[in-house]
Amino acid sequence: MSEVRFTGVRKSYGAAVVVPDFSLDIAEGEFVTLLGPSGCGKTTILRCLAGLEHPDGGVISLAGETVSDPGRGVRVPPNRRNLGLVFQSYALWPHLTVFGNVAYPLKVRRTPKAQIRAKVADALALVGLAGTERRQAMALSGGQQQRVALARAIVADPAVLLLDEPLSNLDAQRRAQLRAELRRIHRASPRTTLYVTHDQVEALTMSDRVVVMDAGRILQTGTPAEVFQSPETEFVARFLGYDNLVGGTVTRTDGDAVTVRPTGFPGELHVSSDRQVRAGDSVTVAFRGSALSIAGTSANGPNALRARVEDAAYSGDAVHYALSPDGADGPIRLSAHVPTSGAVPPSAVGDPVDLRLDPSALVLLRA
Amino acid sequence: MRVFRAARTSPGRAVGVVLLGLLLFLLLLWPLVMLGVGTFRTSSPLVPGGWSADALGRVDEEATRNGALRNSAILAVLSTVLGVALAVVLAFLSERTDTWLRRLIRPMVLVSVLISPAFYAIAYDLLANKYTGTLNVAAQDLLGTDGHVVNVESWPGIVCVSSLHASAFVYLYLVGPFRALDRTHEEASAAAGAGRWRTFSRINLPLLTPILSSVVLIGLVSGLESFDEPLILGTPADLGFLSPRIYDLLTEHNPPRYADASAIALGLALVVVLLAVVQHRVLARRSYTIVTGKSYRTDVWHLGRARILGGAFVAAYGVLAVLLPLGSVVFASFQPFPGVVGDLSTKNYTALFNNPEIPGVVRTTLLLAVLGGLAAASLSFLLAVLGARAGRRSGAVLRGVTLLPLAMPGVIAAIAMTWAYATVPGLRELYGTVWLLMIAVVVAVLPVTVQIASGAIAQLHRELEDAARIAGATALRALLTVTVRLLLPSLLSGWLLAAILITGNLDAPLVLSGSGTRTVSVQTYLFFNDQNQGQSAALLTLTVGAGVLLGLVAAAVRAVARRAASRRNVPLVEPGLVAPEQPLPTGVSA
Repeated sequence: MSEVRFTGVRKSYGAAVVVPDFSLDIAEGEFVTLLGPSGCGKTTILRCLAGLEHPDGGVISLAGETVSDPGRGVRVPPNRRNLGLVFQSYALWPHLTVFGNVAYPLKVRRTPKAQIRAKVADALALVGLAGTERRQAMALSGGQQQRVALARAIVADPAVLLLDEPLSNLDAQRRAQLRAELRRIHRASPRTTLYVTHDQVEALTMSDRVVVMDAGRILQTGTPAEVFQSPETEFVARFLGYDNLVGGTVTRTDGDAVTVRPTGFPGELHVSSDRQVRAGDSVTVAFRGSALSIAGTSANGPNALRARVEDAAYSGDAVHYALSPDGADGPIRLSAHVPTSGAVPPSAVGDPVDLRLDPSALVLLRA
Repeated sequence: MRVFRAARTSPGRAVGVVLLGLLLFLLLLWPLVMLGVGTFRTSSPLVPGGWSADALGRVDEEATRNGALRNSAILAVLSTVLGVALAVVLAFLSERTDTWLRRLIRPMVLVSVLISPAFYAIAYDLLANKYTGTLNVAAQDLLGTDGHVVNVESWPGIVCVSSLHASAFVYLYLVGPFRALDRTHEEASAAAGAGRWRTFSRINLPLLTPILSSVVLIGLVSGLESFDEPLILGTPADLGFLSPRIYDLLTEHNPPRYADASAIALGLALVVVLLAVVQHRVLARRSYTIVTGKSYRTDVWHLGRARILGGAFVAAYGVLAVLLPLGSVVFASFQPFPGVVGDLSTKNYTALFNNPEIPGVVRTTLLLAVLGGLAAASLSFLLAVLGARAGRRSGAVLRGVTLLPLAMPGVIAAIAMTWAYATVPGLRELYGTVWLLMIAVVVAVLPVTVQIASGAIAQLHRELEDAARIAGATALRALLTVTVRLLLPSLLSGWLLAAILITGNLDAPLVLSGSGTRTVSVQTYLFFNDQNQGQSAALLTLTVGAGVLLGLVAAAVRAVARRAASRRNVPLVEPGLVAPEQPLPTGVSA
């Protein structure tokens, strides 16, 4: 049975509809990430589950109990939902010590003193801050403060852990560290978790399941690999870093092998896709800049094409090219990221290049 | 409205909402309504009477007697222009330049704020009245002339004294925004080829438009309502002003002409509300971001040789705003008679200590200051917390409600409270007691305490309280253990400031005090009015002395707390009048 269930949840602020109709089930012990750009409604969903916002309609249930159902006047306050929440801003209480912060949920629950001491110590040990009880929370570094916030969120053993962009206030190095830490903690004691982020790396590295959202709607749900490798819509593809989107018409299908004639430049693209299409359908083919490789010699075979370098930007470990395919009848640009190697000198602006595209790296999007 | 929807789900909350609503209604709305009703009564609030609209017909004649309406309007405009200009210069010098003595500006302004307008008026009268003013007497001795060199009981005198006091309040509103000005904006202007004056007038001042328009509005309102300086300095010069005119109608006539007084008060209240609406409209359509938040620099301007000039300005301000008034009062308290320079003695103090009425006066004042200050500060923080937490519409309603006391400065509040409570059976018992006076002074200081409260709330992140809710705390517990705990320092300083302002308030007690409920400021005025300037000055000296002592204790406590906090690296919520990100002050009764 699912631990968290959203059914037809709606939320607007005045005339602005932030979440039109949201439904999602999260299984016990599952780590689900809501991924989307800022303003897509993901934080609103999390806050509705926490009880900090109140939906206008729909039902939210936690561990089988309805916690929000405006239609029937049900609204369980946040303090009776048994949740842990880590805020983007940490939200540590500046007047309390580390111990005071982490012990707060236990004190509120009237846990006996001796147990509080032990549980706080355990939680702090779990987040790698053993022995810091007596320090002032605000005297710690940003990364440490977020660990304290995490310890506070899990110390009372909540049914569901909510994380609202917990890493976005940290620098890149700390973020990577804490990401690994979160994964370790989740492995050590799997707990139903709802994680909200706009960072695809966080979503992909930590989740059991990723839910991509835009404008309050779910666009795609799947494992990190499913979402990353086969985005279904243009929005998801762009959001996950597919920088080349080429329109075209299906000319042939043979099982999983689909052939597409691109619009605007000559040639054929061979795509491997299990999507159901027929000859004559218009489709969009998406691929990453890293799927384009520059062939040393004149390329032939499937997915070979010639282009001219319009712009080349050197960024250390790769060169980013803006390319215009030969014979293009409009301003069509492809972008390619080619790892720098000592053997092949980078091409210069105006150079003709031979390109090859890995068929398995091409994705056929839903029209 | 979220408050009311929540009311449906929780009965405890519903009771709270209803109680608070009732309290606000009784304190703020009901008196204004009754002021309107009182305009149409033919008798005093305590006496049965009939209905009549005659007062409306006479309002023009009564309000313009002795040029009251015109004079009040002129005073409002002049003291606002001069007061704001002076405050802008002071704020600029203290926050954005390396002028000499700039660190003295803030403490001097604080002293000036804490000194009541009545104190200023009496002090300057003692210093520079035509006959016995210390300056004039000294000039006569030194120059051997008769006549006088300055006369503060005149138009220029009233305007200067009012502006001086107004500028201190305005400064408090400006100091935060001035400090938050982004140096890079100034550098961008300089890089574009603009000189300093052009940068200041074309970049800095326009950026400050929202706060400047707010303080101009506040200045106009308090100028129109101004009571103490017009009464003390204007009456001898035979200059009429609106608030003293209202007071006159109540005290110089038998029976008191309540309907006429109410009509003028009502008109004044309406003008104030109108001004507030205009300001809101003007500001709502523009969007200014003064404080960008992240990376801005606030280095000061290096004035070079002009530092000395700035220093001279600061010194002059200090002399006029602090040294001269304080010195004149202290000096007068030792003079046997005004104008007598020799023969200094403590006989005024002895007379005060032997006066059997003084202990009662002090008790009444302390009761009003301590309890009234606490009530005003607590109510303001409650309103500010609710305003910040409520939904959009109920928040707007709450903020609108906190604007109402602006329309009721001392004299108007006094009449409105009389109508509101003396005419209702049951509440009538309040009339003549210290409690009605208490309500009036609480309403009078609310604009200031609300300002402190909303400034403090703006610095508190909502998530701190949310985190407590998620951790399992009830709404009340989260409020108490997190929000209230963190706001405590601001609440205490709000209490202190309210207590000091209540002590200095003259107009409300003057109308509402019976002989048994006189306050120190009323007693001071009565001494002064009875040609007993010496005891008046002695009482003022003792009051200010007590205030200074209290202020020093508070400052010491704060310093100790700050040191303890910085040792533990705790960021404190800064108690202060205005947070930098607070663009819309709700007003001040100066």
